[in-house]
This record gives sequence, C-alpha cells and structure tokens, in this order.
Amino acid sequence: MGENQVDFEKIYKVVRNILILTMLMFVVKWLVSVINNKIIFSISQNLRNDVLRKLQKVPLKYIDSHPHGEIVSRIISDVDQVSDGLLLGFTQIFSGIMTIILTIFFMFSMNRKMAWIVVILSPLSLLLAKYISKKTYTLFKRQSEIRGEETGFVNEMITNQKTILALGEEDKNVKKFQNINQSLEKVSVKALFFSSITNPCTRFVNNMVYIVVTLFGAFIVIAGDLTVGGLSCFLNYANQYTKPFNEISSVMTELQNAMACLSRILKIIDEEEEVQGEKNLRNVEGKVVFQKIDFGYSEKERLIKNLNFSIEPRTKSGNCWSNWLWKNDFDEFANAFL
Amino acid sequence: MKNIIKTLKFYKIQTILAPSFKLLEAIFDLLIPIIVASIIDKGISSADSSYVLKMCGVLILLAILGVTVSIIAQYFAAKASIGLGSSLRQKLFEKVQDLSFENLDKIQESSIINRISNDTWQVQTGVNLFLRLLLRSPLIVFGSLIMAFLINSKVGSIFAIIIPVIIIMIFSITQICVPKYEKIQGKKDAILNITKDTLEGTRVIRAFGMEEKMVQEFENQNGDYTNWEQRTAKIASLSNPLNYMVVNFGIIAILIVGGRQVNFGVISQGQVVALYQYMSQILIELVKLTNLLLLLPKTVASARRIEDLLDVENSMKNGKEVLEDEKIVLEFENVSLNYTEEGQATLKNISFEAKTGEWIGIIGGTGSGKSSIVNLIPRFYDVSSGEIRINGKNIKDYDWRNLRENIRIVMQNKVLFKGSIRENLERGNGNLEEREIGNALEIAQAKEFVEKKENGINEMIEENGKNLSGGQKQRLTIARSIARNPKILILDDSMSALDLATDKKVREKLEEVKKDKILIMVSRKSFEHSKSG
Repeated sequence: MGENQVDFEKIYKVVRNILILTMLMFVVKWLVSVINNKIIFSISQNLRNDVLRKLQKVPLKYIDSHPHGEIVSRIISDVDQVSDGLLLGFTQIFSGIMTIILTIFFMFSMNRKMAWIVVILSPLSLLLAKYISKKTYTLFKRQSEIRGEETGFVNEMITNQKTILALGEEDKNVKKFQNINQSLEKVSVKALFFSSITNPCTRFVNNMVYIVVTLFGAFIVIAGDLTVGGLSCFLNYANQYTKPFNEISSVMTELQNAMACLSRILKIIDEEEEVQGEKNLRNVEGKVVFQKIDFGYSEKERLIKNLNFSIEPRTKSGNCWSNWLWKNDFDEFANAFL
Repeated sequence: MKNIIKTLKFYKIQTILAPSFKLLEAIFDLLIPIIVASIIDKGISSADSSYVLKMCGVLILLAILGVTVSIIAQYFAAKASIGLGSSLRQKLFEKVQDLSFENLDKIQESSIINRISNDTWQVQTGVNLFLRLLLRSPLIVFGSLIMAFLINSKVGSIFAIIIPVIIIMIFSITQICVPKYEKIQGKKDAILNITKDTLEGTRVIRAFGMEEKMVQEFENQNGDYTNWEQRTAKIASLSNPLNYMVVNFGIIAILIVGGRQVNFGVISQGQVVALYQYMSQILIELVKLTNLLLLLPKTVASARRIEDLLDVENSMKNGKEVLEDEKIVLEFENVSLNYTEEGQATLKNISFEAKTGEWIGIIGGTGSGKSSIVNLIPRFYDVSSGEIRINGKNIKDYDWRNLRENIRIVMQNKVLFKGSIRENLERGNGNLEEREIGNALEIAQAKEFVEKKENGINEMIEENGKNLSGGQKQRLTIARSIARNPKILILDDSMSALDLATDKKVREKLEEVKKDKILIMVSRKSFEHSKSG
C-alpha cells in the first residue's frame, strides 16, 4: 500500500468499533477485578477466622507443642500469600483462557497453516514453565520451612529478650540467628532466581514462535496468499495468543507457592478438636469427684496414677502436696483442659 | 534510609550489574519492531526471500542474546535483594540484642518481630523488582517514544501525549492508595496481636470461657482489615483498565494519523506495524511500572520501620571496669528510681550495704518496688539519683556483661528455652562440666526430677518450658543462675511455685554455699526470711 491508497471510510468504521470495544473492555475489566478482589479477600478473611476459631478448640497440647511464631505466620503471612496467589491466578487465568480461545478462532479463520504452527509451538513455553516451577516448588517449600523456623526463633527470643540480657547470651543468640539466617539466604536466592527466570525463558520461546511465524508468513505473503495487513494482524493474534501462556506460567509459580501455604493453613483447620461433652452443668452444688485418674503430658510419662478423692460441697480444700505431685497440673486437670 | 543504603553497598557490584544487564535486554527489545518493519517493507514488498531469511536470523540472534542477559540480570537482582534482606534481618536482630530494658519497655514485642520477620521481606521483594525494572521500563518507554519520533514526528507526538497521560494517571492512583496501604498495615498488626494473645493466653481464655469473645474480637478486626483491603483494591484495580483504554485511544490515533501519513506516502506499512508494536510495549512496561510504584510505598513504609528500629540508641552507656575481686561490697546510697520522668518515684532514697557472705532479705507488698531494687544491681535499669557501688566503684563504670556474669538474678517469670535441659543450664554459663551441672541441680532440688526424665539432662524442653511444671521450671531457673557460682545471687520471688519442704531444702543448700557470695532474697511473705539476716 502506498500513496492515496488508504481507504479512510473503512478506517473510520474500524476506529468507531475499536472505540466502543475499548469502553466496554474498560468496564468489564474493572468489574471483573473488583469482583475477584471481593471473592478472594473474603476467602482469606474466612481462612483467618477459621484458623483463629480453630485455635480456641484444639487441645492445649497442640498449642503447647507448636512454636507460636509459626502459628502466627500461618494466619498472617501464609494467608497473604494465598490471597496474592489466588488474586493473580483468578484474574490472569480467566482472561488468559478467554484470550486463548478467541485468538485460536481468529487465527484459524485467517490462515490454517500458520495457525497450526502457533498452536503447536506455543505450549512449549508452558512445558518449560512447568519444568521450572517443579524445581522452584521444592525450593519455595524449603524456604518457607526455614522461614518458619526463623520466625519461631525470633519470636521465642524477642519475647524473652530481657532474660537473654540478664544471662548475657546476646552474642550466642546472634550466632544462632546467623546460622538460620544464612541457610535461609542460600535457599531464598535459589528460589527467587529460578522463579524469576521463568518469565525470560518463556518469553524466549514465545519470541522464537513469533519469529518462525514471521518467516512463514513472509513467504506466504510473497507467494500472494496473504496481504501484509493480514500478516501483521495475524502476528498480533499470535502475540496475544502466547501472552496468556506467559502469564499463566508465571502465575503457576505463584499459585504453587500459594498452594503450599494453603495446605499448611488447612492442616491447622483440619486439626482434631477437643472432645466436648454434651451435658450442661445444672444446680451446681460443688461436689467434685476424681475417680481412678491417670494423667501425663505425653503417652510415655504418667505423672498422676490412679488418683481418687472427692470434695464435698461447702468444704475448703487445698492441694498442698509436695512439688513432684504437680500442683499446677492438678489445677489444669480440674479445669478439664486436657 | 541511610542504614539500608549502607547495607546495599555490600552488594554494590550486583546492584549495578542487575539493572545494566536489564538495560541491554531493553535495547534488544527496542530493535525488534524496527527489524520486523524492514522485513515487511524491504523483504516482502520486493519479494526478497534471502533478505527475509537474513533478518529472521538477526531476530533469532537478538532473542538468544536477550534471554541470556535477562537470566544474568535476574541472578544479580536475586543475589543483591536477598542479600540485602538477610543482612537487614541480621542487623535488626543484632540491634535488639544491644537494647536496654528501658528500650525494650518502649517498643512492642510484636512490632519488633514484625520488622524482623515481615518488613525485611517486603524490602527484599521491593528492591528485587526495583533492580529489575528501574532502568528497563523507563528505557523502553522513552526509547519507544524516540523510535516513534524517528519514524515519523506526527505519529511520535501521539506518543508524546499518551505517555504523560498514563504517567499522571498512574501517579495519582498511587497517591490515593499509598496512605491507605499504610493504614492497612496497621490493621494487620492488630490482627497479629490478637493472634499472639490467643496463643499465649489460651489457658486463661479457656478457663474463663472467653473463646467466643476472642473470636468475636478477631472477626471484627479481621472484617475491618478486609474492608480496607477491598476498598483500596477497588481504586488500585482501576489502574490497569484505565491504562488499556488510554493506550487503545493511542492506537486509534496512530491508525488515523498513521493512515494519513501512509496516504501521503510519508511512512510505509511496515513502519505502522512497528509503531503499533512500540505502543504495546509501552503499555506492558507502564503496567509493570505501576505495579512497582504500588509496591514501592509498602516497601518504603517497611524500610522506614526498619530504619526506625536500627536508629534506636541504647539508653545506657557501657563501662569498661571488670570485676575481679573475690570479696564484694555492694552499696546503695540514696538510690531513687523513676521509670518515667513524669511518673511517681518507684524507689526513694534507698541506702544499704552488703558484703560477701551476707544474706539479705527484701520483703514488701505487691507493687512496693522490691523487684525494682534488685533490677538495679545487674544494671537492668539505671538509678534516677543516688549511686550504687560495687567495691567502691559506681556500677555504671563496669562492663555490664561482666557485671551480669557475676550477678545472677532468678527472675519471677521462669523463662526456659526450647532445647535440652543441659542447653538451658548452659545458657549464660558457657560449657558446664558434669560436676557443675550436678551441683547446681542439687542445690536447686532439681536433681531428682531431672534424673527421672527418660533422657536425663538431655531431655528436650519445649518452647517456654511448656512440658514442665511450674515448680520444675522454677528449680531449673535457679540451677541455671547458680551453676557458675555468681558473686551475687538474687532470688526474686523465685520460690513461689515450690512447696514448703522443697523451699526449705533449697534454702538449706543455699546456706551451704553462701560464704562466697551475697545472697539477696525478695519475697512477699516474711516467713521466708526467718533464716535471712
């Protein structure tokens, strides 16, 4: 096409259509992301609520045997990670799949041979991304394990910082922290690096596909089966077709990370609850009876064996036994905590 | 930001190389549309297939170079940002080790923990993105603009209008969202606090049947947090669709203006295709920049919190003297203590003297300042007026680590750490010989129950000593304090969880070792002191 060959009437028509589509797209895009936000933030809100509710019901043993920092990081960081992952996943995967379907349709209606090239070659980038994300998954898992360990350590030490000062343990503490922190650094560098080469690698594959299509297209145009405008239009579709693959694959790493977090959160939510009796206390007189009670914090160690006694109403009673009889445990026991 | 920048200097090479390689990548990206245009204009129009082949070869070469420099850049970016994050974590942790009791009273634990465990990650992520996009995105945007002008100045001026419009849009949305993000962070801290309270206070919560109330409170805060998140996201998510719209307007303008230029024969078809591609590239980079800009305030807020903690100065100054004498004289002279400047005096004009071999009892009701007196001796706090002397020298002149090594205090809160019993006893004492451990356990009346444990002194203690009884914990903290035979031993209400018989035995044992130390015993009950004097 050269001088005075441009059909302006047709251009204006197209321009009008693009204008309308652009406006529509603006509204739809915004609505979709608002709705997505609403759904996902509600999901993470519920997740947080569920975990906290669960924490009120798990046996004390559970809370005692898990570092608090780790549980806190489940509720805060892990849930954040899940919502970040889902947010990216939802928005990208939805629009991604739509784009893929539509562009396939348009490409095939333009030129079948070239369309086949694009459709067959493009998933290569997805395979590559999958291969990389498989590697990064283990790295991310290891990273969040060590991060949990570090958070646990920080929590324990900072909470008791005054004792640390009193004991003069500052230097030793720094060294211990350094050990954990250094191994965290090593894993993190690897995890971040491998996850961040996903994009360049898939982009490379896509570029190659683009070049191959250009080459084929150029020959088809030279042979006269396609116009130059047709080729550039086709290249556009090809570009749009590969982009979601690119995005989906980068989202996959993020999603995988989110899934690792979600599974840890669900593990808490699925914890067994303390067994609740069904009867309610009524007409309390104050008579307490202990009958053949055995008790220990762990299966191995029985602290109380075959304890029997009863306390009559309106009497005072103190459990003034010597230390090895576990006064505190007795109180806990009387409250039916365990 | 001086601390963070100083830390980043350790990774100077990576910090410079990462964006530089990104810059190379951007240059390759800018070349591609021009080459495609020449394929269309020169290769296809004149049916020159060898030219098409040659140019496709160039494209492949550019793609390979592009992916190579990009991977190198990602490596340096990862290395620098993670290195920075880890160093900051280390520095923060070290900083906390160098804070005084007074400092610690002023800063909330949860906020310290948050800074170490979350803010450093935020900065790490922010810096990583920054290094990757800092040079690349602006170069692509302005490079595309220049390319457009080189192709045709009329079409180039469309670019010159569209780019500032998008930048202003992004900037204003960011400006609206930034303060909101800061608020959201505050709400997150609230959630974190309730979670911590729930975990630490489970026993109390359950004993009083407060579970539902805790859940309610959490759900309220959580709802509030989520609400803010959603409202902010509504505005933030305007950004992308708006960008697309403006860019599409730009493409429409290119079609009209470019169409005219083609009609006049000023530009070729291939060049229109190239212009369109530049416009799309600009959009992609601006979207990335937006995400970076949205993340930046979060990063800056985190960085500021990190800086704040790193800037805290120890409220006490360390001395240099070392306590070497065997015999000790401890003097209090007119000692007064105010924890806060405007608050009432906790201690007023206290004077006394104690010598090695003496046993001092401090009795008083709850809140009478007993613990405050003993907390002054290892210099946990400084006196407000008066002087405390050890062997004639003000305790402020001693190195406090040395001081605390010689003065051991068994605190009320029975803190033990995750680790074996041996590790716990060795906290603050270095490696202990079997004999020393046995001795300490003997005095603290802990030998019997430790020996009964399956693994003896290698038995593992859980966080906060959760798998021990109160009395056991207390006896282990006594053993820990006495293991190195300190010159001053302070028991701050430390027999509260012991029964009378055990209490008596501990006292008898202490009586045996008191000749080479000052023993100070704090209690609420006077009968505990029948032996003191």
